[in-house]
Amino acid sequence: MPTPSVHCPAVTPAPRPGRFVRFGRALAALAALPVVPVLILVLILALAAPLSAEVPSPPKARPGGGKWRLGCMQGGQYPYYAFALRGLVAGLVQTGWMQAPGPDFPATTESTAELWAWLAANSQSTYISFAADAFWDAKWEAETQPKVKAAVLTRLNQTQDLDAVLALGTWAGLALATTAHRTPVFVFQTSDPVAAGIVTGVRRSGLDHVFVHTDPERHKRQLRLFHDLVGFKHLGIAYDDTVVGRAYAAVADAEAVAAERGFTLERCQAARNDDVQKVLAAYLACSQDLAQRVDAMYLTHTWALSPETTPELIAPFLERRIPTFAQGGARFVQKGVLLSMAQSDFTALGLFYAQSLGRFMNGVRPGDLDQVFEDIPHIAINIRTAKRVGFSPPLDLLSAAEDIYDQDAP
Amino acid sequence: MRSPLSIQARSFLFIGLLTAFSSLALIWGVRSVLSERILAMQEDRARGLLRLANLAIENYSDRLIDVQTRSLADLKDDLRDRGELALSVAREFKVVLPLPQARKAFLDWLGGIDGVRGRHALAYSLDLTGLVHPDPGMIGRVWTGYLDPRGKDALAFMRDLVLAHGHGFDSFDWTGRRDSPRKHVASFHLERDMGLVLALAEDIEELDRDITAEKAALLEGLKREFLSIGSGASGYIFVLDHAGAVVLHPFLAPGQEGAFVNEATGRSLGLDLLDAARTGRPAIFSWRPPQSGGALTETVGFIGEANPLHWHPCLAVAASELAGPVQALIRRIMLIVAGVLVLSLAVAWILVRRESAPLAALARLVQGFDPRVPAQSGTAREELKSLETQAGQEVGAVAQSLSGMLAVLEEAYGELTQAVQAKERAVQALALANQELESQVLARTRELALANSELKAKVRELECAQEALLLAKSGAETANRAKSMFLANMSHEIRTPLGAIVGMIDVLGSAVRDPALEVPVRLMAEAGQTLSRIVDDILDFTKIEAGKHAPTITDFDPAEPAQSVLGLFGVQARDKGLTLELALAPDLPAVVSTDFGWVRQILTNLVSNAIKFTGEGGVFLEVASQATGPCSARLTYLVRDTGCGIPPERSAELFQPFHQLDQSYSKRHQGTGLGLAISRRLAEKLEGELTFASIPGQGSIFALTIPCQCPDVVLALLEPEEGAAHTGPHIGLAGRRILVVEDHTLFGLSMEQWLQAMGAVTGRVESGEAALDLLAREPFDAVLMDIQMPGQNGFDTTSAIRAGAGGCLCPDIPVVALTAYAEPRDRIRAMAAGMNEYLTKPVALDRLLAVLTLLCARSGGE
Repeated sequence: MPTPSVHCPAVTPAPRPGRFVRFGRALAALAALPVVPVLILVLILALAAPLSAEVPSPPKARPGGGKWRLGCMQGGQYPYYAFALRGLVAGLVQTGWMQAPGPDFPATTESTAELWAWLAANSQSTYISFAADAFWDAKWEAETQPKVKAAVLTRLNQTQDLDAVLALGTWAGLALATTAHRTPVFVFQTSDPVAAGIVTGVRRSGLDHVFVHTDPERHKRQLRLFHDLVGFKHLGIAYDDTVVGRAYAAVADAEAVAAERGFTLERCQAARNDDVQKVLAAYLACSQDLAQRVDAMYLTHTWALSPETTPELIAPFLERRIPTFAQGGARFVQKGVLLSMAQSDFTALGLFYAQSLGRFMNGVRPGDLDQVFEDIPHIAINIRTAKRVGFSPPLDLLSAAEDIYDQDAP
Repeated sequence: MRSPLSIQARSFLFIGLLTAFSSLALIWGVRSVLSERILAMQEDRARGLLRLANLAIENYSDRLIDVQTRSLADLKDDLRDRGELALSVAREFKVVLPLPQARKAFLDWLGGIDGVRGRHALAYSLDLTGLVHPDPGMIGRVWTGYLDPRGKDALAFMRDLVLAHGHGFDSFDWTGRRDSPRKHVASFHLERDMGLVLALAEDIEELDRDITAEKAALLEGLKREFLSIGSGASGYIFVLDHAGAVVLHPFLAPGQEGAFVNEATGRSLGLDLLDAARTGRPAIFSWRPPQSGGALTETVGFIGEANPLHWHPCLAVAASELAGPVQALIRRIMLIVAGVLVLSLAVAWILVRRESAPLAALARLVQGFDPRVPAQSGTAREELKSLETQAGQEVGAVAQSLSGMLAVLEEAYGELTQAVQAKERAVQALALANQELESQVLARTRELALANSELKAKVRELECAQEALLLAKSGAETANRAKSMFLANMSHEIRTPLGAIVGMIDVLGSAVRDPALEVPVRLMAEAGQTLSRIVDDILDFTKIEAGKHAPTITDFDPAEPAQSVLGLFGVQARDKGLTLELALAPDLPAVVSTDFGWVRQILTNLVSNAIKFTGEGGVFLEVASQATGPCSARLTYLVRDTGCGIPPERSAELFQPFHQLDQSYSKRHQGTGLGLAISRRLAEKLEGELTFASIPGQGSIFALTIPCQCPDVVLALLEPEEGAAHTGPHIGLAGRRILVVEDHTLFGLSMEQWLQAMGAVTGRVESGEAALDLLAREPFDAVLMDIQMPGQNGFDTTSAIRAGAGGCLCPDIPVVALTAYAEPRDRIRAMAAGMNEYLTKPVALDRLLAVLTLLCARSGGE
């Protein structure tokens, strides 16, 4: 998983007062008139409604006319970014901000760039446009990341032609959830934005122009379920030992649950590298190492873990009949991981993204939006892996599992 | 003691015993090794069987999972179908009725569905208010807190899920038809228009019951599989769960698991087996398996590892079956070993007999050999020859050696025989010679006896002569003494007239005025002096011989006799052109005690002779002394001349009386020849000696050495330390009053003088009683105490001082012992008496000074 190379700047410019405050000050000048205080009160009450983050609202036209221009930035290609973007589109359609895409909509692509390009060219909406020249991809390259970030900030500060930017992933969130610009930012698809340092608060970002989706209990739910079912004593976890790497792997959550449940974490460090093969080699080495000393393995988000590389990475654990759990969801269970409980499709999440974006477009500051939304966790289990590792799944787990696979990795 | 057994028997016995022991050891070793290996193999086989059993159990588990999964999938399908069916009913209601009525009718219909077993329908609104439930008490309540495996509130979660997706499954703890929450699986559906969530739920235990038959069939299959695993004649596999309960047993029907108990303890054998499994070793137990007709069977149980179902496969084998191979092996080994033993003994017998036969032949040959019988020895040699070539290497070598030995023996026997004969001849010759010798001895004995008698006669003659000589000697001595006494007595009668003559001559000489008479008068005077000297010498000599000459001890300066003699002969030496000098040693004592006259007389004789026999050069006198004790010394007077010397051959007669070196009629020197004799005798009388050394032509040295008592020697002999002698008044003793208690006057005086020289004020007494008396009258600062004194000795005197006897003014006065006694016990006694210090003579002056200074300072409180 790529890591950001730039952190928030030290200087925080004073926030510009909102237009409502300025209007309030102007009205204060007319306070001498008896009717004015009443009017002011009415206006405040009327205008205060959009400040609430909890009031759903139908689409409204953009103040000043035109369409809301959206941009997008990602640290690099990652399938979940495409899934999230597709979910957002579905949510926007559901909430009326845009029309349903046509049959040529790339419904299965895992390329965010391809999806964005299609949206920029083909989306049908009265309110929203996807700026074709406002898609940035740092390609997970350490050398490219600062350049991309600089280009985005220049666009946001100088050109100022975008109304909001979608930041996909932790690196993009770290790059844009700063006071280096004032353009609203919506950060999606981060493992642990608080641990990564994108935001300081779970429910509110702390910055007026920043919204970050948080699900603080996501990984803890996973680990508790895993421990309830397997009862392991030593849980393996491999990660890049940096702030972002640890956030991706939810190491802090794992440590908390380990302390709560009384098992030990066996760690293996796999340093990041621009070369995915080297990263894969490092994680393979960790698999070999951890298979010697654990009785369960927690496979975390990493550039090296993909459905294609899953069989190779879990082979040492299968040989030693060690149960495995994938942070990433059913895609990996299908490839041989024993268990997962994660977001399966992005319908509900996309709806949440769309509702949040919609509230912003209807006048709510991103910083005032409630960031917490719990995924709808889908349980996936691989029966064949269960037999191989000697795990007898309880009936209630089988009952609750959305996906039951009975196949080896191809 | 000879062994009663032959070598054959002994060898055979030894080999037999060795073989027997080896066999037993081999049996024991093989048994140990092989039995361990057999047991290890059996254990390995058991482990292998248990692994097979575990595989079978895993297969069972997999099939069970498949059954459960399939059954669950079927159930979920069924539930979903029923849910879809219910939704279709709801749609029907919506078609014919307005929505509110349709909703109510649908809910009524739903509530009337008669669920079978644990299956029932439920419905709740989007705000989780219960609408349909078999228990009417649940209707109208908010249904929350029913958790699913995700940890979520199942009904709220499924509401959100169906709102998003329309349908979903979940399992959750639910109070269905029974009061206590049980796990249920449900299919959830959304009826969006009616605003409710519909669920068809079933108790999971019902599902479990549905597959009971299949599970039983699987278990039966597992049992058959266990039975098919070859476990030996008595072995069988059974399964325990993690708590030690019997899950599967080939010979125990369901419900008979209670028979699997330890009869001795009443505890489940399953628990015993699990306990043994933790040690890694098989368990041994006794029980009555049904298949054995109730007989108590000792069984060995091997426990396998747990598997996904937490079951432990166990292999039970009768102990007798396990031990069988080992016992059979041992029997086989014993048979083999017995056969080998018998064969070994037989072969050993044959070999021993074959190998020992030559030895027996050798023994027989040796026993029967008699060198006196030549024919026998020839036969023996032939036999030995054959043994050399036919017998083994060692026996052949022995035979060869024996043959050589026999030859040597024969030769030696021959020589011995000759020697014996020669010996007999020699003996005869010896006897003859002996007889001759005896006759010679007799003759010689007779001769010796004769000589002996003659010798005895001679001895008697000599004894008589000796007696005569002794008588003659006695007479001579008597005559000599008479003569000496006569001469001694006659001294006065001789000297008196002679003195008168000499005196008259002197008077005559002084009165003669005629020059022509001077010469004759002078010659008469000289002759008279010479005659006086001769008479003096003779009388002195005779007096000495008679023992009437005793020394007169006086105190004088040791240089004085020499100086007197120097004055006596000074003119004579000068007239002869000789040097006459006197040298005194620097350490001469000031005063000595001996006979001044005799010393002078001796020196006079020596110097007179020296001048007489020295033509040129000179005569040199030296006086020296050597301390021999605290109050004694040895004086030495040397008279050296440069005269003609004394020939060595004349040395012996030098001190003979009346003997002169030149006895010829032309002798140049006059004299009686008594001077040196008298001088030597006088020296001997003084307990000294007169010696000489001479080199002819160069001169002679005469040395008179005499002992003497010298008061000043005490001071001179008190060993002054080099460079540390204190000669003047000392600040430590200045003004101090020191009492000297010493019975030897000279020593006491010397100490007193020395103390006064050191600045002290002294007192001196010569007895202990006097010391006490003086101390009672006068104060003193310290006392020097002699030990050996007449009357009260130093120890007693000091004790009396300490006791305050006699009214001593200062009982604690410091007392220093000065004594010649140097034994450690003397020092101890001195300290016990109360003395402060103990110094032995000769005492170092500085030490004495330091002791007195310290003691006086202490007593004075300084």
